[in-house]
Amino acid sequence: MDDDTIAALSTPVGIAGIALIRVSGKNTLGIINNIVERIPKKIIPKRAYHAFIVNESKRVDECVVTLYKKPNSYTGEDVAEISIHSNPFIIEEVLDLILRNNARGALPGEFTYRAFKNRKIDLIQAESVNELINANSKYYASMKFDNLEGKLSELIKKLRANLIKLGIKIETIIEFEEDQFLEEIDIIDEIQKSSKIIEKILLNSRFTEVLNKGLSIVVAGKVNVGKSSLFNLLLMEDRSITSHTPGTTRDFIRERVYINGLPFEITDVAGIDKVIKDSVEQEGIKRTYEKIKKSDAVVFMLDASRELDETDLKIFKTIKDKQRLIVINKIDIANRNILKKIRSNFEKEKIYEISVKENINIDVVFSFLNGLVNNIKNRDINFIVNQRQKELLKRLEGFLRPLVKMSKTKESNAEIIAEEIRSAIKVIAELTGNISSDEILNGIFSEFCVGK
Amino acid sequence: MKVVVIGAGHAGIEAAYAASKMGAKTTLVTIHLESIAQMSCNPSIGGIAKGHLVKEIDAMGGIMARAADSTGIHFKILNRSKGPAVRATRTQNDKVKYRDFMKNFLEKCENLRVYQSIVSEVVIKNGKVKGVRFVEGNELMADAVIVACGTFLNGKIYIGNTIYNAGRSNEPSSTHLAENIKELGFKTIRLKTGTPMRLHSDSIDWENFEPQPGDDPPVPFSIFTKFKVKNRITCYLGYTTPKVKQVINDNLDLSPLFSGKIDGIGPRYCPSIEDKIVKFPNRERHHFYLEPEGLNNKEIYANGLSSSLPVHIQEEILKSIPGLDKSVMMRPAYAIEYDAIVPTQLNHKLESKKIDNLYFAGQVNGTSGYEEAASQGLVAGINAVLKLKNKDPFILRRDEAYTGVLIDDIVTKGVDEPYRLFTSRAEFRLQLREDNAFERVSGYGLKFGLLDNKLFAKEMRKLKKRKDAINKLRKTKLKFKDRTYTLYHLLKMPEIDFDKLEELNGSKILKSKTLTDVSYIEANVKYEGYIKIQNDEVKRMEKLERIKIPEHIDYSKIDGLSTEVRQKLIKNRPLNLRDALKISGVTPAAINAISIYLTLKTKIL
Ligand SMILES: Nc1nc2c(ncn2[C@@H]2O[C@H](COP(=O)(O)OP(=O)(O)OP(=O)(O)O)[C@@H](O)[C@H]2O)c(=O)[nH]1
Ligand SMILES: [Mg+2]
Repeated sequence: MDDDTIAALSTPVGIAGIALIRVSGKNTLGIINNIVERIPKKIIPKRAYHAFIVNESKRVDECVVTLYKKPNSYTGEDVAEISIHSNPFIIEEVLDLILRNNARGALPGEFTYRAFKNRKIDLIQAESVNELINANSKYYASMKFDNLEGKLSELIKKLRANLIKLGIKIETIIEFEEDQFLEEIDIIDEIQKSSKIIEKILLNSRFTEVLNKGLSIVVAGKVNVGKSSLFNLLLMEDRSITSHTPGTTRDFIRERVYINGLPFEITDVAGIDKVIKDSVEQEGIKRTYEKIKKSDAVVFMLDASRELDETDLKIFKTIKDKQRLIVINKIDIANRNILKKIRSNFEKEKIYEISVKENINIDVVFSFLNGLVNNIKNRDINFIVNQRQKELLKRLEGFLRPLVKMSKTKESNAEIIAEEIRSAIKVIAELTGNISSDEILNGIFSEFCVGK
Repeated sequence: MKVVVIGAGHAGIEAAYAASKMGAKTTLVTIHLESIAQMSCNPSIGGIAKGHLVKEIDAMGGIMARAADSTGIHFKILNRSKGPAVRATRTQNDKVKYRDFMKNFLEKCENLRVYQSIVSEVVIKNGKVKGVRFVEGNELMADAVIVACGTFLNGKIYIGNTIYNAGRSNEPSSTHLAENIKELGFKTIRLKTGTPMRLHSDSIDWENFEPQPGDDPPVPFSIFTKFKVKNRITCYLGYTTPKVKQVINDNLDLSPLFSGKIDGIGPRYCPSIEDKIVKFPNRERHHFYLEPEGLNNKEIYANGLSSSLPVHIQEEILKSIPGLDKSVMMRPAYAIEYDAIVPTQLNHKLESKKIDNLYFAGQVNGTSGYEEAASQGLVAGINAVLKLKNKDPFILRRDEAYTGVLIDDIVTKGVDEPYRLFTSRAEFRLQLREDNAFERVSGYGLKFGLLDNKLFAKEMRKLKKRKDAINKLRKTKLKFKDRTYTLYHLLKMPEIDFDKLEELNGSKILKSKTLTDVSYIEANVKYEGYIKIQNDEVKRMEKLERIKIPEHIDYSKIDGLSTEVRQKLIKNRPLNLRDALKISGVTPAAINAISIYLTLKTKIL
């Protein structure tokens, strides 16, 4: 187990602007040479190199690479630390690339475990290591498929059952030649079914479809409350986007931003006014309501300097069953009575007082956005395939793909097909637990009338 | 150095021969001198996985393969059209000749006495074997005893409502020894098996059946065999009818299997005809084979029609099958129930964990099949002598031999039905082939003196010839579909086998070639990539095996384990990480968690 090279993301997704991927083991140097461009052949240890990650000669991201030679590293093995932009898609691609270059996803606590084994950590530290590993493996255990309810675990179970069926069929072909002429055993169908399931899981593994296109957030409120000001502030957070439209918003502006490395699609809409001036505006308002309806969450903005009015209440009605953050803006020029009145009208709601202009309490908006991501993660955990699981599924796919072609000559290749299926079963076993040869034999006897 | 072997069946014979050849004064005890090496069930040796065992026995110097060739009357390679790893030899044998061959062979062995009596007791003193006592009351001192008494422990035969004690049709069973074994504290389980009826050849209308001729040319089993083997009979294939189904369904209550009289667990791979009809009700017909039991013998073995129904129902079944409707039954089918010891009470040498120098081999360990028995007999015989000589034990690994797979399976996992070997039980199936049995295990035969230098050298030359041919394939280039390949590369292609390769090459690659040559070459070329991966796996497993799990480990202290996995570990109590990983439902992540726990524990605490 300790012979292979392991890799994992060391910083949690969405916490910093930079993500750190750590690689440890014999192949570390080889991996760096294969995937990093513009780095000297002779890398000096402990020096940070600014370079590029390349995938099939296409640049994926810039990076900073630092190499630590054995035994002067955290784990006591060759270690590379690769910093890249903390964008989940980039992280995913880079990790994929590393794993394809002869490494495997690290198990929880595995870096620390190796550090400990190679006596890089002393006895006092070891106690806390133990705790850390336990905590990690608990987390890992909770990520295990069979502990999960729902769609993903269902699919994995189906895949497992399919592979066992495949095993049963091919083993019957091998073990019971003289009984077989009685049964037409078709294995291609089973292979295709399995491949389809894997495809389905992988397709949905991109951090859920929601995260794929970004969480959509609408900033809503009546005219002139400061929506565009907040929108611009959020855009500023993401330095990559510089252009923005100033002035009163006539229709809507939509921008994709990364906040803490996670994608959002934020929509700044036209303010809603009780006096509907012209039909163009009316059309805009209708569209605003639609935007709200389709969004994942809404930031509803009130004005601390103006009386609460019917429009505020009307807008509130439209967001009632949405995930929402309610803020009273312009707290810097607030009127006490108005504040009181607003609060009394939204007694059951949690309302934050902010000032976009004076940058007061803006953190609530950011933590609301981060919280949304976590919510979605929790809600859709059944469908979040972690890197290790994904790696396994891709390997599984790799075993199954050539089988369809092979199976056309299943007679002469039966034992090789069986070998591939065994490898595939081993992969699924890493997710769902070992499958013993007895299980396959049991299947043979219950499904086929064999034996004399 | 004295060894006693109880039982002269397929296990006992190999055990006694190996022990005597290795220098022990050996006594082989049999109830009946005439029934030495009796094939109590089907008249054949080998088959898929079983043939592999026979080749291993042969390569280590055992007798079974030679006997099979010398008395063979029909030779066939099963899975011939599939790849080399699963090709397997099977012979049909003349049962009488087989017995005669073995009796003659054993009678001529130095250091070996074949003795007719019944052992009533194994004499034990201070946890050590002292010898055996016979029913006549006399004792025989011995340094080691090998129990190979097959199904004779409390054997009970069932035919319909008729039940009688017997080890084999009308031979006495060993009730004293059975009691003695229980007294010694061995746990036993009740198992069951069955055998079909034997029919008179002249009463069968052969026109109704499809002939199943042997291979042309027939391929022998043994490296000892110098003569040309010959097919002398043909087997036949037939089918049951809907009428048979009806007869059985109407009379199920007469079967002790279904009326609950038999508690023993039968082998699922050897279902009785009533089993098959009940389990697969949609099937209108079931196939069976008619196999002659010998040349000067009219008995025909109805392979596939085993049953425990009363004799008159068996007759009715026969009447419902065209071609057998006028057949005359010579022996009825029966089911037999017997005691086997729980094999987890043995170590990998097949020696009792409790009693020194007491070994068990064969069907008494809960296995089934002549070949499974013989290979255990050989291992037990060798180990009995090695221990008396203070030498290292002989334990075959799972990646080295099917014999290793078989013994490891039964002594670590136990059995819950009569254990039969399947190729799917081997993790390293592509390595464990008939064609390389010699390469895998003949070294042991040589080392223990069971294989002589001359034969070994001769086979080594053949092996070298195969290896040279592979090298030649690497060097020879050939144009194929507008591209140039080495022959080696071409042979890797799924659609090209060795014959096809020679055809493409336009000339012979080997001057004369046997099936072993062809299979060996094909396997080494076609499986190359897989074998590399498997070798890595072997190394990984060896590493895991070296990490021992302390007996009193507290699994509740390991946090990363799911409740389900924890329960399985507590139940199975694996001795090392490899055994833990073998348990169904245990993940590599769980193994990792245990490994981390163990390292931390030994390094910190
Ligand atoms: N005092 C104060 N003024 C603010 C604050 N936020 C925004 N403003 C001002 O309020 C005015 C309207 O701001 P916008 O961001 O354009 O408002 P809006 O909601 O987008 O307006 P519409 O698009 O017309 O609906 C501008 O003059 C801002 O400078 C704040 O926190 N305090
Ligand atoms: Mg605006």
